[in-house]
Amino acid sequence: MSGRVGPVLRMSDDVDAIVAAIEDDNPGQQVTVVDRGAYTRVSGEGELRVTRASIERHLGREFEMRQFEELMSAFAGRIEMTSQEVRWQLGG
Amino acid sequence: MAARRLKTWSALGQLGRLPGEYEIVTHALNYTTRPGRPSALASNPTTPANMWLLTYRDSSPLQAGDWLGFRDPDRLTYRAYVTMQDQQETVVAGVLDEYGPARHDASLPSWWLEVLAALFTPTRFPVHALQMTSAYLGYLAPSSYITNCAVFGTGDLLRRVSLVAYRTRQLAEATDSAIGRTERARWQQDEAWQPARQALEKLLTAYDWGECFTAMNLVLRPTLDQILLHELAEAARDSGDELTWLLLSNLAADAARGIRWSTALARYAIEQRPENRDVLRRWADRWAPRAEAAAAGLGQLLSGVRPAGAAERAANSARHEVLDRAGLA
Amino acid sequence: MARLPREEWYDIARDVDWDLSYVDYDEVFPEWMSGTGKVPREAWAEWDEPYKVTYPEYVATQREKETGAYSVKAVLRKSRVFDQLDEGWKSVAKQHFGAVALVEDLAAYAELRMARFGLAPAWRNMAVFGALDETRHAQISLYFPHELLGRDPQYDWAHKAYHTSQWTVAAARATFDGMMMNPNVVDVAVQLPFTFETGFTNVQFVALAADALESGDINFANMISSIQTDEARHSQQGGPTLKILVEHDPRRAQWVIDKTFWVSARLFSVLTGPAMDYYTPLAMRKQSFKEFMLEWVAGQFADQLQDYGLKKPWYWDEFLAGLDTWHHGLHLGVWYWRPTVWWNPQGGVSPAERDWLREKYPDWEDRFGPIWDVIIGNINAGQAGLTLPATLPWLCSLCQLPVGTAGSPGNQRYPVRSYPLSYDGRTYHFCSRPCRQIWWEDRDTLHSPTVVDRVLAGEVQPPTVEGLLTWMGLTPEVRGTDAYGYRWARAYPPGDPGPAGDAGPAGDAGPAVTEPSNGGRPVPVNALFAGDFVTQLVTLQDTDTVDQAASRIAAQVVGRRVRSREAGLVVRLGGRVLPGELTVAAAGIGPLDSVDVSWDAGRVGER
Ligand SMILES: [Fe+2]
Ligand SMILES: [Fe+2]
Repeated sequence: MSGRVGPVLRMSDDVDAIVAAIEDDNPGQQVTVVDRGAYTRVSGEGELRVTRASIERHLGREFEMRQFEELMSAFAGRIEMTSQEVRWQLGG
Repeated sequence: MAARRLKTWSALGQLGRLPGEYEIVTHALNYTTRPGRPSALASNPTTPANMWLLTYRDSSPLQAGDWLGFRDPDRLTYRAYVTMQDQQETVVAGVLDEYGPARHDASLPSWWLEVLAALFTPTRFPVHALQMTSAYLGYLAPSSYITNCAVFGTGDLLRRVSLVAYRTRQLAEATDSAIGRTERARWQQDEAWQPARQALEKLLTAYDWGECFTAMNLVLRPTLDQILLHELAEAARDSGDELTWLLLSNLAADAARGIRWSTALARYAIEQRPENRDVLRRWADRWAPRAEAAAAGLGQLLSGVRPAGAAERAANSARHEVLDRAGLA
Repeated sequence: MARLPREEWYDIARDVDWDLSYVDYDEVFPEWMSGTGKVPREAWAEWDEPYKVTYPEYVATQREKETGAYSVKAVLRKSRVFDQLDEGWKSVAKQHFGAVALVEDLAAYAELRMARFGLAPAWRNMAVFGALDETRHAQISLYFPHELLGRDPQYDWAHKAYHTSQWTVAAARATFDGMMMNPNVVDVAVQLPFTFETGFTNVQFVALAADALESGDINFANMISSIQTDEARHSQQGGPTLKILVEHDPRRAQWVIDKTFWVSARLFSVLTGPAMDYYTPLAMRKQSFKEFMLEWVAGQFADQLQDYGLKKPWYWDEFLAGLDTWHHGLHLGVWYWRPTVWWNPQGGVSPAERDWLREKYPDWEDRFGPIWDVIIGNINAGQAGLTLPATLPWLCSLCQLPVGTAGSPGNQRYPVRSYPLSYDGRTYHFCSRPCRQIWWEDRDTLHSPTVVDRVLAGEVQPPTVEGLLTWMGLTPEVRGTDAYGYRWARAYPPGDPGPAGDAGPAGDAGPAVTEPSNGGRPVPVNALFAGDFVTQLVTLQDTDTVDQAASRIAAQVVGRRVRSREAGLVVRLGGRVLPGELTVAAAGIGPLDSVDVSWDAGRVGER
């Protein structure tokens, strides 16, 4: 079992900002980013999260958490989505 | 390869005109209804699922030579649907903003809050029952043109449950009423609700697709929606609750669209096969008493704010009007 | 004033169950449809979706997605992009649209079934969004190819495929009906959203987008990855259902996943495997099919299983081994039987492509190289007719894919052979032990005739390859041809690979596939010629000698896919060598038997 979790982002202008937000929101985690062109796999060990606040900071504009859905075509791990953050984890 | 160039799907080539986006993306999508199939599903013909489709869809008393000829009068596609409903949700959000519910709700008199607690906030239960039935109709419909109408209609009903839930929360917060605590009890125990509940529980077991369609869309919904959307909205406006009036009026547009395609489908069925008039008529007659009983019950909940018997009468004449538009008068 | 956050009111919208008073619970939620089984009714109240969305959020988000997808399409419509796409790549898109568009619609019915018969209101609400999503997918997967119809009639199959009995469609229909429409909704939630949508669809809709973008098909890449953002949400109906099922009936949960995973893996080997490893232009391939499958299915999905306390399916090693062979055999089958498909398969075995295949799949050359060498030799000798079919491969009674393609030539562990089963007075053939076992367990449900069964039943008239093509709905202008007009084969030096030797008498127009040509009673058998990659339907006559039968079978293979040799032939039935001079009837060969033919070095010159 690899235990790696996190979103798979589809191609868009916002990928870099989302990756930066994830890195901010997971201090101490080794966040791995694999870029395959049409998709970018972002992963961490066991648990990863991203908050609306960090995304807004990196995008420099308002962002509703529901819009994360437009950016994410898949993910690894179990997801939990609230109006303020998304969390992916395994072994919960 | 000197074949002639195709202008549209070969399956649509007989139209004699170029199809629009609606037909391109809606025509003949349900392969389990294709002609010449050994059974609906590529499984043993006697599996329960195959038998279900055979019994309740393919052997329904409601038959037509070609269900693929039916068209939604609104010609809704998915993208048109989400665009339209996003606009409507924006309208709703604007209305909610404008009335600043906390202040508006707190200003409502307690006798009116009691009407809302009795007739408005409990509707998440009956509307959920309709949502389930509408989903079933989409599953069982004999053509994708019909299924898609039902799918968008199911979405509309979830929209309605959602808005009722949202308002339930706001009203519960802003007022001292029973709202937010008594909905299930009223739906399950209030005498006035029982005929409606009985009709909707029975509707859940009307498995023949034609009967399901007739009972829900031509009989029960026109009757119930007249009270739950229109009469209640009028009463709200008369009672100074403009917010409820505006929200219900917005939801009523979804119901009106449902009536448009449903009456068109009934007319189409009769056009395809005149005997269908009797088939539909029989079902309408079977369900009308249940609808009448439901109207009589729910009408009581408006007795303090509408003239005696007015809501019930309006509900029954709304149904008659729909049956008339369906060619079943 | 901002709207209330979702958390403030969401629970009210899904608190809509009540106690039924006027009808029985079992009448509203019949076991056949709702399928609670050993799970107590109350347990479903715990059902909690992890990926929440509200109606207003849904329509806002979906509207934005639709605007995005359609505006890319509108921009590209005016450009030359389509004309510049590689013919091999176009086949990926044609195959995708045909195989997928109407299945998206089928998935809408599966969602509607859950929206009606699901045992928790939260689940039923989620399924309404699922039904809307799938309606979107069907519509967008039709609207995009529709505008290409005028350029290429093969795009008509985006709509037409599932209205026909074409063989890959029949295979897909059996799989998807068994996954979405036939089971109760608890099983549907475990099979469709959990196993299929979180496991496999990612390979077709996310991984393939990587190849699409590289190939310059921005429109397609954008569309499929946008579709998958919906799947990522509504597939989350699987987890909560599975969690409750595992708690109360783990054996059922494991079985339902195991069988779905297997048939899905088989189907993806014909759908996605050839697209990634043969049709996508070499320079544009992001990863091999095997690498994508390891990333998305073997890795990510296996993690999921463990997370829910389940085991890997019993056949896991066989599945992993299959990643090296299944789709190569299926590609070879689709290419050789190319008139039977609605796209133009790219042979994809030029010297450079072959180097890539050998690098990604170290056993490829031993397993499939010899057959391709015969094909290349024939093409370059001006005998392309010998690379076209005159018979039918035998189709597995479960996955409906050619028997042999769950193994490969020269493979000790998973050889090319049938796994037969006698049941109710007839013999069924399967491509593998798991297919046979799944069929046996679920035979009352999964029993569905294959195209071969329907030929044998006399449904296809005349019973020739041409008759079959017509019966499958393949009008002449859409029948598949080599995407590059054999350009890839011409890249080999002249005379290398060398000629395949004499081919048998079967011409490319094809003889009758079920009618014997001269007297006797027909004996249709499932025939394997040693070294070939599939078994085939060959009709012998009971008056044939065994030697004549051997020649009949050899004629379909030798010089076509297996190099000719100076050797005699030996026929085996159930491992037993049959004397050459006996008649078929006297030798005990009966209808639907497995008959093996191989070279016999000891009988040189006897032919
Ligand atoms: Fe889908
Ligand atoms: Fe199989």
